[in-house]
Amino acid sequence: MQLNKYSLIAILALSNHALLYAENYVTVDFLQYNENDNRVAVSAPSFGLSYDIGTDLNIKADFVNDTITGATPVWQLTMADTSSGASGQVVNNTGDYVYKNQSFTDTRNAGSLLVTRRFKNRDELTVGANFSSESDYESKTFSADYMHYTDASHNRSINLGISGAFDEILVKSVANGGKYRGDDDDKSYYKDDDDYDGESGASQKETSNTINLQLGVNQILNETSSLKLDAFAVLSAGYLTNPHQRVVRNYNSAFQKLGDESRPDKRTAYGVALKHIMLLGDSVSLNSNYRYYTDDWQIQSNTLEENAYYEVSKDLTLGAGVRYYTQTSASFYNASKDHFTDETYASSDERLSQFDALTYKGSLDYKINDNLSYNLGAEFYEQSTGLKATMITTGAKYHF
Amino acid sequence: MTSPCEVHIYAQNKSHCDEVAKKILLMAKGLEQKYNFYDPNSYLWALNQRKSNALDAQTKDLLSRAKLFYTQTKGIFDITAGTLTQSRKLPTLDEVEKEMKRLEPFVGVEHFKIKKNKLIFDNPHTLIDLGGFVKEYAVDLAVKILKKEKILSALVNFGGDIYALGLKPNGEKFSIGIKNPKNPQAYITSLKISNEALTTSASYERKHQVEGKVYSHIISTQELQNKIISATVIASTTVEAGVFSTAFMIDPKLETSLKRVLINEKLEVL
Repeated sequence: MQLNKYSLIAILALSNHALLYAENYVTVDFLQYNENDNRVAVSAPSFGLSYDIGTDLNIKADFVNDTITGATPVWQLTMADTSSGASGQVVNNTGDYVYKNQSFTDTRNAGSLLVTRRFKNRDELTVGANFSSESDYESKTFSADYMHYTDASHNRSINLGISGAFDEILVKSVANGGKYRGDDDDKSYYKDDDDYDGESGASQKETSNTINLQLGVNQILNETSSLKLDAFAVLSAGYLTNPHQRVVRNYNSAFQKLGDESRPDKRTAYGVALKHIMLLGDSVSLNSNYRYYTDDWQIQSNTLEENAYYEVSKDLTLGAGVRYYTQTSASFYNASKDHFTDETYASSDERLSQFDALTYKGSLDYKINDNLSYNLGAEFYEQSTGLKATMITTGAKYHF
Repeated sequence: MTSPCEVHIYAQNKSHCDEVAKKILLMAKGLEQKYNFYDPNSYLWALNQRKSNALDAQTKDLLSRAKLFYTQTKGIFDITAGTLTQSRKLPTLDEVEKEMKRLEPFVGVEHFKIKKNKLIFDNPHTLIDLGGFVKEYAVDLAVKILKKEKILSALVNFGGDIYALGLKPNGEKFSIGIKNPKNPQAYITSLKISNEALTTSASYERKHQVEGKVYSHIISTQELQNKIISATVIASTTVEAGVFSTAFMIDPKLETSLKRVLINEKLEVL
């Protein structure tokens, strides 16, 4: 199952912010994500470490272990109870097609390492590596980001980042009878549960590569506000299809069948992101974000987010926010079982559909003492397709 | 019966289910032997060979319904089409065609009457073949047994002639897969039924070939039209469904309010 992997660019952004307040700390966090309708549930403990070596070098490491259970909707066949017609044994017992939850379980381990070098003029170079592994998916990402102050007052900086992700996906193999996870009595997706590399022939390996480029400008506007503008491009090539999704083809004919979905093997995306931070008095800060994304799959999205943080006391900070997201559908997406015939590209994956979503957020950060702080966050997500989700995060940070 | 038969009974008491299943099996075997067109020991053989003309209540009922179906299907469903059966086994096309021409005047339900529990033919050649609906009749009798035994959920399938009694234990209707006439190992579509009968007729199997000309097992005085190769009908009784699924193979435009699924040569589901 391909999960949303950590974007190294996002991690770099966080790490840049943290390095301004260079310090050593250890974090322990726990995330619990639950979707409605018995869909996906994720439990993810994670550990983080930030360590300064002198004043010019910082190392950050993170590790997360996700346990995912639940179900994802996918087109499936229902079994017929009996048959009418010709004599002879039916080999493919098919009934009708329903788009319903198919259960699965998976575990993901991911880790990242970032090394930041600060130069004399306080420019920073951060290089990183990220590794993520699930039963049918492995990803390696390498990144580099350079932040350059354009003036002595450090009111403006430019950052240029590049990352490359190299993914390996295991897809059902013909040799394995084309079994899908959850089919028949196939409790184990592969003949050998540990067989990620596909050498047993239980599955075949596909690859995809993604290059992510980002160019940004951060400008301190005045004592109380800053503005950041980023432009990004994402180029992906290789196996970009979701191997767990299916489409119904030729429904209104005798040639109807349930087949694999198929996505283009290239994807080019562009976008811009704008971030504005404003301090209101001594206790309140407002973070406003806007992001526009477009790609050659005809998906366009807009994200508008507003977060407010209120420092109740020197020990307690409360946060609240709302995010609105809207996207158009991919050109080869259709939800109906009687739409596709022989199109090259076809997908009924809800995530490629047109939808809107609202997220409501709340957070709490409490300093127990000078070294130890505790955080708690909650997000409530609602999508126009009917999907709802809650995410609870909690953790502790220890400075040393 | 030369087709595989199955009965699925859903109830709490297994031994009761076993008993009911045995009753159905006994009834089906009895019908099979009684109305076997080809068996010289069968009751039907005796009637056809004019060795007996006494009709029991069951046979009288069957023959009366057959006459009614003859009218409803405008002569397509005809139990006297069996008069032509033997002619198709002649070795040459010429002999087949000649014999069929000779016997054709004796085909038609008007050639027999039912008078006071007696079967009366008006000629020595007309033969009655109940093969066209005795299997479906057996399904309906099986359902009668199930209901009498207070079974609320069951699925009876005698060679593709089906009755779904009640709902499945999970509360859903029974799903019936309709086989692809050009690839019977796979389904072409499926239908959901409850307290209904479903039968399918097709011209793709049990064909008989003489000098390259193919004769379908669907015996009718009328030529099979070439457009529909499979007809599925849903009705309240299996006999009615079976009669009309056969009739649709001859005339797909037959007027009836029964639900149907017809498949043409291009494998389009109509």
